[in-house]
Amino acid sequence: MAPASSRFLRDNAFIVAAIALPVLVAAFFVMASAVPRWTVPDPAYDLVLRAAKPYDSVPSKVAVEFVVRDGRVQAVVRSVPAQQGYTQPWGLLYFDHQARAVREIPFDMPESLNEGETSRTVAIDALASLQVSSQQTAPDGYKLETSTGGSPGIVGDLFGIGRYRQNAALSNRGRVIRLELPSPYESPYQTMAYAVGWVVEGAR
Amino acid sequence: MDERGRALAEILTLARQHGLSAQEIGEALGDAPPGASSVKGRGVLVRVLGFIGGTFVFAGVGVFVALQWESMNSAARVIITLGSGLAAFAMAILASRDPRFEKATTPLFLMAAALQPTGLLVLFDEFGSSGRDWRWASLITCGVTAVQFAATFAAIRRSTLLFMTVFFTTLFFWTAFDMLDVDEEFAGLVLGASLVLTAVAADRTPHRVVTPIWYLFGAFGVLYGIFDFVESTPLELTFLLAAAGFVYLSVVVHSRTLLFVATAAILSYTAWFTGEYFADSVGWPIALIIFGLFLIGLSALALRIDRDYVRAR
Repeated sequence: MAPASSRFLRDNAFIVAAIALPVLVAAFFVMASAVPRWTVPDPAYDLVLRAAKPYDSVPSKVAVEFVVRDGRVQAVVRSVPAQQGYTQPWGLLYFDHQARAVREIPFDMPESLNEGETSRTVAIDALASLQVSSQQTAPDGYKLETSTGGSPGIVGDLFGIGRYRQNAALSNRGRVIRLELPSPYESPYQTMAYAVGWVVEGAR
Repeated sequence: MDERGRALAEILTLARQHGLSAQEIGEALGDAPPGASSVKGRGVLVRVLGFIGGTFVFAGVGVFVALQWESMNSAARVIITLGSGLAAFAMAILASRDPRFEKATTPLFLMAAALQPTGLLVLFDEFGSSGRDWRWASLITCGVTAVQFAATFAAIRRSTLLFMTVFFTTLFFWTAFDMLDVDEEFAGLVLGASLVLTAVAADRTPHRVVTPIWYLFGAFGVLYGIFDFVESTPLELTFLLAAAGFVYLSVVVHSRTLLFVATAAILSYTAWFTGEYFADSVGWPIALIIFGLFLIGLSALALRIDRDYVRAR
C-alpha cells in the first residue's frame, strides 16, 4: 500500500470505519440474498392460494372456505347469520410457476343458501383436472409466506407514504420469490394470502 | 498537550480555516467598546425577530401551497417543491460567498434539505409507476440528497452540510437495510455504531457542534441492538458491559451525551431486570429500595464522572 493512502487511512480511521461498517453489512446481505438465487432452483410446482378481497358495502350472506379433498380443490360455502355482520370475503388464486404470474380462478359462488341448508360444497371446475396436495410445502421445498405491515423505509415513514404493504412470497432455503397478486388482491390494506395446496399433477 | 495547548491549537485551526489574521483576533480579544452590550442586545432581538418572521413567511408559503395542492397539475407540484428546494440550495451557496448574507446560509440550506427530498418524492409520486415499491423512491431520494450535501461540504466546509450529509446517508442505509430484510434491531446496531464512529471523527474537527445528536442516536441504536441480541440469554449481562463501555468512551471523547445515554441504559436495564425477575416475589419491595439506592449512587457517580473527566476538556 502506498504511504500516502496508508497515512490517509490512519488519520481518518474512524470515518473510514463509519462508512465501511454499513457498506460491508449491506454487501453481506446482498450476497446472502444473491447466493440462494444461484444455488436454489426455480419453483417447479403451481400453487393454489386464497387471498382476502375488499369488503362489499352489502354484507355477504355466505362465507367461503377452500379445502382440498381427494386431491381436488373445493369451496365450502356456509351461511352467515345476519347478526354476525361482515365476514371476510376470499378469492381463489393460481400461481403459474412457468409464467411466474398469479391469476384469479373464477367459480360459481352462491349468493345465499337455501332455507335449512347450513353448507354447500362447490367444485372448482377450472381446477377439476388438477391433482392438488394440501401440504403447505411443495415437493421441491417452496412454501408460501406472507407478511404485512412492513415499512416503506424511514423516509416513507416520515412522509406517510406506502405505509402498509402486503407481501406474499415463495421461499425455499433462503431464496425468496415475491408474488405480484392481481387486482384487487394487491391492495396493501388486505390481510394475508394463504396456500390452499400445491398442484402435483396436471399443471396448467 | 495540556488544556491551554489544546485550546491554542483549536484557535489556530479555526483561524487558518477562516483566513483570520493575528490582528483581527487581537482586536476581537480586546476590551469591548462602551455601549457594546446594548448593541449586542439589540442585535439578538433583531436576530430573533428575523428568525420568527422568516418562520412565519415559510409557514405561510407552505400553507398556501397545501391549500392550492389539489388544483395544481403534476408539473406545478414538482416545481413548487423541488424547484423551491433547488432555488434555496443555490441561494444558500451564493449567500455563503457573500459576507453580507452569510447568516442566511444555514436557514437556506435547512430549507433546501426539507424541500428537495420532498420535491423528489413528489416527482416519483407524480411521474413514477404506481405499482413500484416506495422504498426505491426513498432510497434514491436519500442517496441523491446525501451525495449533493457531501459534495457541497467538500467545497464549503460548513457544519450544517456535514450534518445533512450524515443524516441522509443514515436514512439511505436504513432504507437499504429494510429492503434487504435486515432485522430492525441489527440495522439499529450497525447504523448506531456507524454514527458513533462518525461523531468521534467529527469531534476532532471544528464541526464538533453537530456531534451530540449523533452520539445520542448512535449510542441508543447500539445499545438497543445489543439488548435485542442478548435479552433473556445467558449473555444478558454483557449489555451492562456495553453500557459501561459507553461510559468509558464518554470520558475518552468528553461527551456528556454519551454519558447520559450510558447511564440511562444502565438504569433502564436495572429497572427491567428487577421487574422481570423479582416483581412477583416477596422481595419486590426490597428490590425497589435497592434499586432506588442504586439509582442515587449511579446518578452521583455520573455527575462525578462528568465533573472530573468529561467537562475537564
